[in-house]
Parts: sequence; C-alpha cells; structure tokens
Amino acid sequence: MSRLNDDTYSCRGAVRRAPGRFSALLFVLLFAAVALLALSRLQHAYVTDLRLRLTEAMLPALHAASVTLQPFRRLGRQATAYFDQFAELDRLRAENQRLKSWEWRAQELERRMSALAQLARVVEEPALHFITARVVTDASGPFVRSAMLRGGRDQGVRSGYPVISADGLVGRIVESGARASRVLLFTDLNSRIPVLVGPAQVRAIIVGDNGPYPRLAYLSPNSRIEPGDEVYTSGVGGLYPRGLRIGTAAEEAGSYRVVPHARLDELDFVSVLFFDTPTSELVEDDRSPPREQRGRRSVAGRPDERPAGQP
Amino acid sequence: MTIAVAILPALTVLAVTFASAMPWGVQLPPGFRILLPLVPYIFIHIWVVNRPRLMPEWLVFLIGLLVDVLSHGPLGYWALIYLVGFVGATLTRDAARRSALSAAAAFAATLCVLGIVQWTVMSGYLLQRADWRPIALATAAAIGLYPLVALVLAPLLRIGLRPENPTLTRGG
Repeated sequence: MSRLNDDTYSCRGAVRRAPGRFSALLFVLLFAAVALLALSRLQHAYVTDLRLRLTEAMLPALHAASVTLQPFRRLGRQATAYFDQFAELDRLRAENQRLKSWEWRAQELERRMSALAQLARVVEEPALHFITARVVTDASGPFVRSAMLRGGRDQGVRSGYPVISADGLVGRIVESGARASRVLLFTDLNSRIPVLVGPAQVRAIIVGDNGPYPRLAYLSPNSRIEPGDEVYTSGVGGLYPRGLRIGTAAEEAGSYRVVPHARLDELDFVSVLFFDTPTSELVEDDRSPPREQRGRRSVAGRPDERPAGQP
Repeated sequence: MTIAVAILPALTVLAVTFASAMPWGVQLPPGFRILLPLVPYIFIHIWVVNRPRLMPEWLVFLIGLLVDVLSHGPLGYWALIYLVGFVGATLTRDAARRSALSAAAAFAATLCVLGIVQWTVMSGYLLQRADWRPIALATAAAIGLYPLVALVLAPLLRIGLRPENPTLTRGG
C-alpha cells in the first residue's frame, strides 16, 4: 500500500524553500519588474516598441484563438438572447413604431436640409474611408480600457483615427504597428471627448473613468439635459468627426453619465475611420499616403459597407 | 518526471492567461473586468503551493509580462504583482497544505495583501489615489473563485506524483 505525498517534488533537500528564504533571482526579477514599470511610466520608446513587437509576434496565435472562439461567442449571445427574447420582442415592437414615425420625419428633414444646403452653398464634408478589422484581444487590467485590432500601418491605420462599431463610437487608435493597432476605448481613464447632448445640443466633455459609464463633465450650469438624450461627438478639437453616436445620457446623483450604445465588452469587428485631424493636414508628413490613395478596404474580408456608426 | 508533467503548470496557466484576454463576447457585470488578470494568479498560487519546483519565479515573471502585454497595461505591473503573490504563496505554503480550508484561508490572506499592493502600485503609477473599489471587488471575486479552480486543478496536481515511503501493512 502506498501513500501519495505532494511533497515528493517539493521537499527534496535544498529545493524546498523555507519561509523567509528566497533566491537571489527573485530579487533580480522584482527589480526588473519595478524598472520596467518605471520605464513604462516614463513612456520610454524602448518599452513602447517592445510591447508592439511582442503583440505583433503573438498576433497570429491571438487571431487563431479569436477565430476558434467564434462559435462560443455566438453561443453566448444566443443564450443571452434566448433568455431576453420576450422582453426584446416588446422592445423591438415599440422601437419599430417609433422609428416608423421618425422615418417619415427624417425624409422630410433630409429634403429641407438639401434645399437649404443648396441655397447656402455649403462646403461638402469629404466622405470618410474606413477599414473593418477584427478585435483580437480585450484589455482587462486596472489601467486601461483598450482592445487590439488586426490591422495596422500596412492597412493605412494611424494613431488618432476614430474607431466605431455597428452600434456607435468605440474609441480611437493610440498605437499602430505594421499589422496590429491598439484602440483606446472611450471609457478609459485617459479618454476625453467633446460632445453634444440632446436636441438642445448642450456642449460637454465625456470623461472616462475606467468604469462602464463615463461621466459628462464641463456642463454649463443652465444646461438642460434629459435622461435618454442622445450623446454624439461635436467635432470640436478635430480628433473626431462631428455626429458619431456615442450613447444616451443618464442621471446619477445630480451628475450625468453616458450609457454607451456600443457593447464594449462584446466587440468583434470594428471599423477604423480614416479621419485626419483637419489641422494635421497643415503639418502632414510624408509618411502617410495621400487621402485619395487610401481606398476602401476590409482587413477581415468583410464586404465593404458604410459603417453603421457613421452619420 | 516526464516533460509533459514538467510543463503542465506552465501550460495550464498560459491557457488561462490567453483565455482571459480573448474577447468572449460576454457582457460582464461592471467592474468585473479587473478580475480577469487575477484568474491566472489563482492557478499560479495553487501550483506554487503544491508544486513549487514546477512554478519557479522566472516563469511567474514571464507570465506576468505576458498578461501585461495582453492587457495593454504598463509593462512590469502584473509581473510585479504576480511575483509578490509568489512570495505570499511561498510564505503561506506550510499553512496552506494542512487542509482545504487552511489553503483557502491562506489564499484569501495572500490576495488581500496583493490587493493592497495592487492599489499602492497603481496609485504610485497614476500619481493619484486610485479607486480601491474595483480592486476590492476583484479580490473578493477571486477568493470566491478559488475553490472552483482548486477543484478543477485537483486531478492535475496528482499527475506525475510518485508514491513516497511505501509501507506494507499486515492484512492490508
């Protein structure tokens, strides 16, 4: 008869660590971790470059894993939809009725708008080109809310480009490697977006706090916001085009927060809008291809279509 | 000891690390995303307590770096947190091996200390007082998840163990 003992491996002579006694390697590694953290804080170019290289090296594996997970993702959504289907049906019926009345009104407004634009000789907004890319990883740390896309400089993606999903704004590109790029979600602590709220077009800034519902800040004291008012980009500052849907306003203890339209936890495919800051054209460097050369492409092989979040 | 047994801990932790970084398409309750990097730590802790030779400090460091890359956070953060967790797991090892209850208590104690370290490092990094609530929530959730992970890992912990001190008993 024999007895299994978990100490078989761990208690052999010098291998067993007595409490309080650690190898020198541990202290070296602790020092290395602190040094890396300090370099990251200083945003050292070496660390940024190292991260991008590591991510790009892992990209094929991450992409393969994300494709493999596709059936599980679908299953999860179907399970959620199954439990919510009755409530969802009621919601869709009500929404359909509301949208039917809006359809007629939108057509009427469009007709008047085009007549007014002709009268005023309005300068046409340039059409936005975009690519659609798959999200390969979701960030889940305490520091950032971001996602990694399979599409980088080779596909024309550059830092600063807005990213949208079918439901609304997701964030903007903050790092772009040759084949991968990182999107900073607008719920991130470092995200600030100038927006307009509701039919009164109240100006505000969406301030991310790493929570699911970013807050609306810098509202004027007399601003009139109703819960449920649409929040969309104002275009001020030139980082985002005007009119990208973000979410709806919600009141919380005297302040306002934004409930995002985009399901930031369920990102699958997103579109990167090739929107250059208007002022950047004044200092455009030679690295980027001219705007007219950037055609409509789809990294993920999706049929090219107008992104849903685009106005 | 076969190679398969030797790399088993690294494989399980790597699989969990990649799985926690993948977009699963599941709407997590608010604040629960911060829990995900702690899931690999639960596995690391169990391996360090039960098979310390198979989960050395350099491997813990590398896994931490991998989590840093996958979570897009500052490089070195999770490497540091996991190494502190490694120290905690090593210090509480003897206590943790007495019973399942004492193992859970040792894990909870280590994780509470880890939560404080996380908050301190995060505040130092951001140069402002970080919000402690998501960390507390993630710590509590990880403590709740521990028994489940321990249960899943229990059969794997026995793989490759050799009988020690075989004894013959009369009539046994």
